[in-house]
Amino acid sequence: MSIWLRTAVLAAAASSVVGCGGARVTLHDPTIPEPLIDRLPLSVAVRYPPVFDNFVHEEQIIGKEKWSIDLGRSNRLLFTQLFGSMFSDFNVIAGDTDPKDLPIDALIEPSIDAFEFSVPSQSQTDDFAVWIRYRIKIFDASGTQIANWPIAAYGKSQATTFGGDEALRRAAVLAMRDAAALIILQMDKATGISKLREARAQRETPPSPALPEEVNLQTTAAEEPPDDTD
Amino acid sequence: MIQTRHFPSCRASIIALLGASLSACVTSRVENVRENSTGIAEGEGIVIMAKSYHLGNETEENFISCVGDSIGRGKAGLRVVPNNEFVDALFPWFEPRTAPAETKGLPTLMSRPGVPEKIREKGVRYVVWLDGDTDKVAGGGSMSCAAGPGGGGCFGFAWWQNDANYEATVWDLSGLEDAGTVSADVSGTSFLPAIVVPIPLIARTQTKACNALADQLRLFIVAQEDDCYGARLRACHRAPARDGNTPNRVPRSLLRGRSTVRARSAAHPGTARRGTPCPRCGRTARRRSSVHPARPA
Repeated sequence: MSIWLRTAVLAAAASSVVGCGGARVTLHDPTIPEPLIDRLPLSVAVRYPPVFDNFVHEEQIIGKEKWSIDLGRSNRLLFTQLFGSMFSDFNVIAGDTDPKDLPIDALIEPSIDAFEFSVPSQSQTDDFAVWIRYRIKIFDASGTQIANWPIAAYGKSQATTFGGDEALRRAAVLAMRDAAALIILQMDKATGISKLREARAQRETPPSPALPEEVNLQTTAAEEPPDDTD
Repeated sequence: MIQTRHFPSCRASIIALLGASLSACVTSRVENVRENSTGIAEGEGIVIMAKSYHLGNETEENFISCVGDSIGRGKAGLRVVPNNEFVDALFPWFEPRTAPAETKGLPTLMSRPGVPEKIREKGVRYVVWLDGDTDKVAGGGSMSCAAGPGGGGCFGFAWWQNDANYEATVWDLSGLEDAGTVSADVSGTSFLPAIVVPIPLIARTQTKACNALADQLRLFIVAQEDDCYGARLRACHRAPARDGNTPNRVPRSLLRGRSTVRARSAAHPGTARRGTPCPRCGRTARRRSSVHPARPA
């Protein structure tokens, strides 16, 4: 056998071994485009959990490869950009800040309930898929929780000739965009956040004898059915 | 010296000839159904999108880019706005979750702030939604390969059949209506005989479907009232115009259908809608039917 043929056989064998080894995928601060929406006239503060600064998810596929995905600060960037486009006045506050001291209509606390992904060897397709389940809690200016909204986002991307890293990264970004689209589309309907401005105005009007509106605003949005598409 | 100069080109010719003669068999069928008249002005463009994977669509990303490249190529190419550029510009209204599934959703979409302006800015007249995929539907045979320090080789025979079924739905954003659909069904069987060295005879079904669909889409979109674009290909090419002098010519570059390609469409797109009489022949155009069938192969 000629040298080049042996080299080719060895290279093919080596690449097939590497192909089974899984990968560690890192998201490099993805961004979402500026949404084409009207801002809600609300003053909103957001408090992020520590996991939004460094989120890593690992998955060991039994008998096969190990995959891990490092979202880093992607979630913080996503929600900061998103809420900055959705509300007329928006601030990020530290974990120890008391929202009662701030002139805001609402405090939003996003968190991650679950993160999952599937790779082609699991799904028996060419697709990488990512599911992210976020939870958004909304509090009024006095600190009363008015909404607890779970949202399920999904992204899918096909494996490319050059491996799955880019496809998994793309699927994760698509899932985050999906979450952003869902929040833009349904947040007000699911949480009634826009009513908080009126509630605050009523509360700040001294002679008003009206009962606090927040009593009637308590909502717990229905759990979204999981997206079965793959 | 002369021999060494000629050999490479000669070898290349032989290999090309061999490759062409050994290519696998592919059959294809392209159809279009017109709902409304189309046409495209200078400065107007199209965008090629995949139907949402939230709806179970599996259209391959490379197929979408292939159709876009193919429609935009050449002198007769249309202006194709890159898919991701369009989706980003209109975020979040063309995301898989939020994109309108039917033309009924277009008026609502157009009433959203900034959307009509952004579409105008991008110069997009038509949105083409692709649906479908390429599947392996059958296969058989067996082959075994072995390699050792002294050499290696394969023996056996394998075959497989791929079917590529795609449908493109064309939405006209100027009239907020469904212009029609173009579909391509391509089937091909690949063979892999091996006697020491495997000789792949690959049927490129997806590429064939891409080219066929792109050519027909281009014809479909550029069609004007009373023109023959998009209909009956060769038969239309010979049809006399209304004045009886100059035929309504379809550019030769667009008539790339081979004997295995059968183009069927409603006659006289633009004027002959479903159930309406065809002005040239007095017959009625039917959905997915051919008043003037393509010449037999």
